[in-house]
Amino acid sequence: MRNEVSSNIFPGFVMALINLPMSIGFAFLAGVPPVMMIISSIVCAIIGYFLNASKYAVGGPNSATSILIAVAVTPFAPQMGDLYVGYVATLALMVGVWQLVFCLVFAKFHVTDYLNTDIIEGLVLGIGILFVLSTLYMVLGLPQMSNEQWLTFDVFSLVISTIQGEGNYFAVILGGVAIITGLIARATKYKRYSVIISLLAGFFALFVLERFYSFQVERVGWIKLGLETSLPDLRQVSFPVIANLITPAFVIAIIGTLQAITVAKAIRSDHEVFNPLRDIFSQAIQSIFVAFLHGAPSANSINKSVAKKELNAGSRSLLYSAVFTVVLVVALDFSLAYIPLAILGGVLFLSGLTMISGEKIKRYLFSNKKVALIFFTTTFLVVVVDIYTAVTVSVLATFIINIVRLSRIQIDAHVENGSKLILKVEGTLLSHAFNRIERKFVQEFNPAIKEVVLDLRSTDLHVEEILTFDWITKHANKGVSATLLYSENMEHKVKKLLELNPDITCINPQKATYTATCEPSHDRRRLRSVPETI
Amino acid sequence: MNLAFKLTKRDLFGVAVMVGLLAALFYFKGVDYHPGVSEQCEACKADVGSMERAGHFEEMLWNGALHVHHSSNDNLVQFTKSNGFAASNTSAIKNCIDCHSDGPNAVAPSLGNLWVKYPRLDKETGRIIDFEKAVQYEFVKRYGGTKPFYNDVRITEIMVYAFEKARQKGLVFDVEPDDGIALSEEQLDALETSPTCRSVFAEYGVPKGDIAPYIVQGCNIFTQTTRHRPAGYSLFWDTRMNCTSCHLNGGTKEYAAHMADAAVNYPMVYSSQNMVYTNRMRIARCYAHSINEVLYGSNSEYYKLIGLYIAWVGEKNRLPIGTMRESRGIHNIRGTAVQHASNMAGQKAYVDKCQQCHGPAGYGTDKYDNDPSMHPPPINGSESFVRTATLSYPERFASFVQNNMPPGATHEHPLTTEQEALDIAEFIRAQTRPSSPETNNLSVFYNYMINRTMQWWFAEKTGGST
Repeated sequence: MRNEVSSNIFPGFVMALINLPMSIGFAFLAGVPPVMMIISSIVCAIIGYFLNASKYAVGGPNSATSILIAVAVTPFAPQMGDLYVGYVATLALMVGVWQLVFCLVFAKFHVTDYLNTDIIEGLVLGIGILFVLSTLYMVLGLPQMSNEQWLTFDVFSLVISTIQGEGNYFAVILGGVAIITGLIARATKYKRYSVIISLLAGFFALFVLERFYSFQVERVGWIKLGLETSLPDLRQVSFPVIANLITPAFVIAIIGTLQAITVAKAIRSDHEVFNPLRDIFSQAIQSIFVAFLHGAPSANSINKSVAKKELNAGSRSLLYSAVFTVVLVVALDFSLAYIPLAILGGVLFLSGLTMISGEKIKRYLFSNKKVALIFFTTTFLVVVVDIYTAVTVSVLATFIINIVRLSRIQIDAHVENGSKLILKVEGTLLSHAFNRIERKFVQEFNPAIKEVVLDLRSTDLHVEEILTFDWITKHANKGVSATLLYSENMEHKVKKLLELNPDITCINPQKATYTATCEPSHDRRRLRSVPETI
Repeated sequence: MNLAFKLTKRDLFGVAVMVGLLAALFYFKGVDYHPGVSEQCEACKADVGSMERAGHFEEMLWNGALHVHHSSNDNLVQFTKSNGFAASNTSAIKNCIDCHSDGPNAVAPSLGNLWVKYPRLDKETGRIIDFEKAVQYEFVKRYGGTKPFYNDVRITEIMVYAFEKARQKGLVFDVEPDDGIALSEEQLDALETSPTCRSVFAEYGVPKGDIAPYIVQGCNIFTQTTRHRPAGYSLFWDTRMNCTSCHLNGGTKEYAAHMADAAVNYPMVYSSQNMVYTNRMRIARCYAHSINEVLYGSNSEYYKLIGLYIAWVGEKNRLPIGTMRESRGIHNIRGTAVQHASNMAGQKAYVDKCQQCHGPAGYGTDKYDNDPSMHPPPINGSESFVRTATLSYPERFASFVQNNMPPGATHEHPLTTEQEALDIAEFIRAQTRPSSPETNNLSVFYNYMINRTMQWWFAEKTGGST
């Protein structure tokens, strides 16, 4: 029993204590009633207990998904309204379906392998910055961001409005106390309780201020928790909006998947098997269920998973945390309703700060150029453009940079006896590399050259395209002897190259030489472009 | 490292059990949140009538009626400390309608009557309070401790209800006290009243009472928007569009989006977004999506001042709430009776009729810099109107041109033919202008830089008419 208390019940209680205010805060960021996020955290904890593969993975309301929900649904319905809630349920269902699709695709093609750490960490940093900025309005006691203009402009508006006195100075004090206390708590050994400590400090400041001043700040309000059933908005009239939610659902599913992978990769016990696919499946089921239980889309949370690992929590702690969440909502009814949004904003601000790691930024800053470029570009695009573009550009950029780097060739050109030009090529030879060889050839060639040797024996040939070889064949026509050298193991690839490029079909497999009399019969391309060459 | 995706029988069994439990829950409990299905309420039906349409506005109106008749509903009333209500003791809380009814025993004005009294001046703080803010304050006052959130949809729903009640009664805005003293010339000078505002006041009378300076401020912002923007924004953003660039003569010209029509018709469904927009939201949208201005934050005093001025214009025009005049907004020219619009013909017509004020390249001219009553806006470049503005649609721009341009034109006596107007609109459509300020959209900056460069390269301010 004592073991159960220490490994499951107590960690479950602490997790519920941390989860509850965070869930309420995430609800305000997502624009849904707090009860929806609380339901999500409970449902995700229960399903996660049964399905999660990673021991420390904790699903539920999440910073990135909260922001994405608001960005996706706000253009189509007023926040907190019935219509909005229906669309959020639809979004949750779609996220679940996308993640099920991912499970099938990833299982077959292992697409997750291509998502490098620099992309994931760049995304986390970018989302962290967005998240911190998004919590500012709560701390400043101002209306929420407009979501109608570039985020930076919204932040400027917040700052200028505060200076002009449109904000609430009491809110600033309460939020500031919560943030500063949380930061101090993080520097101590009670780091894992920093959320609870900052909440309590905020409350203490509230009571002190209320004793001396009469003021109004926005508060959470009454939360009526119950097991409610809901249907996603799949009415015919909503189809245009639903069509607009497909892409955001895809992005939320991708972000959830990335978080599941990050949690499975980074926050696992020593002997645990790395199997993120099952976690993704678990998330898919969670998202589908919350769509029918008046919840909102969720994902595995890195912060909460770290907390679970630090608490050395057992697997049943998730179930206990669900139970304690219900107990806390019922028991703290009045206290929860009375929490000023500014304090919640402070707590969320701290949570966002954990995603902005100075150490990581420094590490990437002094790492190699390619990794730094991908990392900072991803972050920049998340903040400045959007997450969709950031993911697409980063993955493509990674591929392009890798291909460009891999296909860099070394060309050693020297002339022997004044008449023999030898071009020795090293490296991976893709089609575009022939342009470089051509340039080098043109640069080195002079009228005294009577023999050209293109030595490709030290290359890895990957050319399956139609190319232009007239830069060498036109000299061959005038009597220059051209030889292509390649190794035995390249024979198959060279054969393919010859098939595709008939103007060099007369190459001798051992000693490839161009002659003026070499005249292929089925040269489509030469007829079109350079008929006078041969 | 195992990367294979495997589901054990236990997993599948678990999922099946959960699905079964969910199905059982639905079977025994029914659906609590059913999209599109509203709660029934006989009192609400008697109050606002049965819905002939089933649109988004009607949905919000119904919800507003529900809030007003069942304010004690836990969705609306925030649990509070100061009035000592227990969380479960909702019966102790009065409903809005208990005091603000239309009946003879009402202890407070009905919400419909209150709708036309706002925006009004809060003498304690010296700030303008619009209906939205007033409802929030009322909740704080009545229920204490907490208040609903900014932009809360429930407040909008109550606003829709109040608007509908005012519409049913045919009420007219009443924001200016009848017995107030009109501002003197010296006071108007001290408030730096713009020439356009002076011409408006000459037509409608100088604002009266304590609220008069705020009406003048609202008018100044409306007619000289860029000049009166809050400090700080000019550091990083610039535009030369004013509200009155499209809402001509300070928003008092018919067929040029007369502001009285806007004042009496919002909240309204903004069809391109399927959302009910309040006046304040609509003003903010115009800022971001029409005149390429930065949003100041939805609580901004500036929007409230503009809202006050607009309501005053509505009052002066004696337009009952909900009136739909034929001249409202900006019309469409379909061009059915004319040939297709031509960019080249448009350019020629532009040179003849528009260039004198808007400049050869459309960036404006400096010839009216010393005449503040004339402020021809740029119709090209980064300081022009946004791609999502109403006037960015050629058919509507053509209508605007025909009814209003060149100055002196009216709906009854246009100075351009329909064909010319369509040609000019086509020519204007082809110009560069700021892109829509969507969230996190880099194209805003891309367009800004490109337009700025073009403007600098071709003609910043030509100063001449040719």
